[in-house]
Amino acid sequence: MNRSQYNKCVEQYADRIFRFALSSLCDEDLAKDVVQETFTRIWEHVDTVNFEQAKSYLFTAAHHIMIDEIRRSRKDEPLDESNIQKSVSNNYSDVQEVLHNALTTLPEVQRNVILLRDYEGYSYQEISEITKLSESQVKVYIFRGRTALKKQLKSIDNLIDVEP
Amino acid sequence: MKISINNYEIFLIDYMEGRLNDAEIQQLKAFCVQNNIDFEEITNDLPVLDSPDIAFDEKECLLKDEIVPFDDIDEDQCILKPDTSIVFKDKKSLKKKAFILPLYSKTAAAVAVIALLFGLFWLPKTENSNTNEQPILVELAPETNESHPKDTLISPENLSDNESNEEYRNVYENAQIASNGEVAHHVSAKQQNIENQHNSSSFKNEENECIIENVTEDIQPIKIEPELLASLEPRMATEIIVSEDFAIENGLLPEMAFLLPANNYYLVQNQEWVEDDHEYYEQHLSLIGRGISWLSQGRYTSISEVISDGLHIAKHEVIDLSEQAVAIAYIKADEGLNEIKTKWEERFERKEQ
Repeated sequence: MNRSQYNKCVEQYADRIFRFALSSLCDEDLAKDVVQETFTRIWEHVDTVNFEQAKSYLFTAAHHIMIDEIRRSRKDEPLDESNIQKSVSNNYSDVQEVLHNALTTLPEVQRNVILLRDYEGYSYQEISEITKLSESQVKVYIFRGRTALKKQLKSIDNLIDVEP
Repeated sequence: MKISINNYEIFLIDYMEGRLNDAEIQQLKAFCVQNNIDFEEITNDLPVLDSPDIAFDEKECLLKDEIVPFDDIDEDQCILKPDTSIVFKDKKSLKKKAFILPLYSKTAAAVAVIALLFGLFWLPKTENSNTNEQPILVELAPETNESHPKDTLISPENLSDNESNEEYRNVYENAQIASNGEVAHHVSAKQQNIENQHNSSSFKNEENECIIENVTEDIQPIKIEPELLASLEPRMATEIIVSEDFAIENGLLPEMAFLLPANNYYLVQNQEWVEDDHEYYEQHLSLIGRGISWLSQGRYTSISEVISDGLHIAKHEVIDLSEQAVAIAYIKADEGLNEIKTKWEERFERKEQ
């Protein structure tokens, strides 16, 4: 990949990596750090990474940087569910906002595979390569994550129903 | 693959995404019934996230400058500008101690050339002195000074009318310190002619003739950029611009052209130039170099002021022999002749002791 192609990657993927990181980390500064670090890594290997491989390389790098970041900052602990429910019950504007808030309650692995699947449309095999999980594991995590999100939505619906 | 409690979720997600055939669907439904799993509930309305419209606003930081093709680069862009604030302060550790006479090196040869100039200018005025045996000190004695006013030692206007000094005057006039801070030095073809005409009186061998010819070609103008000088503290300027190497490699100022041979002449005449004197020679250049710098940046209005500070440096930073250089410079400045004499006498006394 040459310099021009690298810059093209920045234009094409920086926003997407940022969304991926922000949705997963729920911290804008951390998400920016992840983007910076991700592109730093690809720049360091710019001579060996093909332009066609760049997207996969970037998301793989971002995923692992996020995992490291989460483990370092101990943010992999699920947030207090009651707080989430409380906050979203009074502030949600639509289902997607509720879902994104609920997403933060999922374990990091479930979060990331769902984001890769839903945001980027990656196949299970591609997600498997990015996350170094088996394809079956990816499917299980996605299924469990979606089921958990569905439960969250239902519980919020119930809260709204009982509110005066 | 048989459906089990460990993998049924995989089948469920494949079912939801339409990857199961009818038989597999039936197997999955049967498994759910057997394990009290609400198939309809679990497979309906599983949420999917939409990607939010969020932009990363720091892309500029990630972008790399494009490399400009060589064809698009102006020639001006290809000129490297040195960072003159970077100096190597330990030059002395790099210098070679060995110095061999006769004058093989370029710098030494330069001294020889200028020594001839000095001889041309000086010797005709001291007809009664035996230059092969007497040190310059004798020539600078008051009685010598009486017969030749001090001005004659520094001013070409007061040189005698003989041919040698007429030509030397021309050489001298070509070497000037420019008022804008540039120090220019020109060694004219006439100077070379003078040297070629008279070198037989001082250095007669063919080797030196050859060296002289080369040296006059090598001497180049010293140019100190006014902007650079203006940006530097005086002390820095002396260290950066007028290093020993700078002086040696870039030629000699008019003052140096006069001073160095005088000193060298003295040493040669008295057979005191030995290998160890190389260090002295370089110290000498260093001191003169400082003077150049000071003059160049307008800190001093005359060389006598340079010498005044030069003496101070000589006492604190340069070996004592350099005082001779300062002393000779005094001649040029038309001041302090007695002080020169005193200093030289003191030196001779020290040597005799």
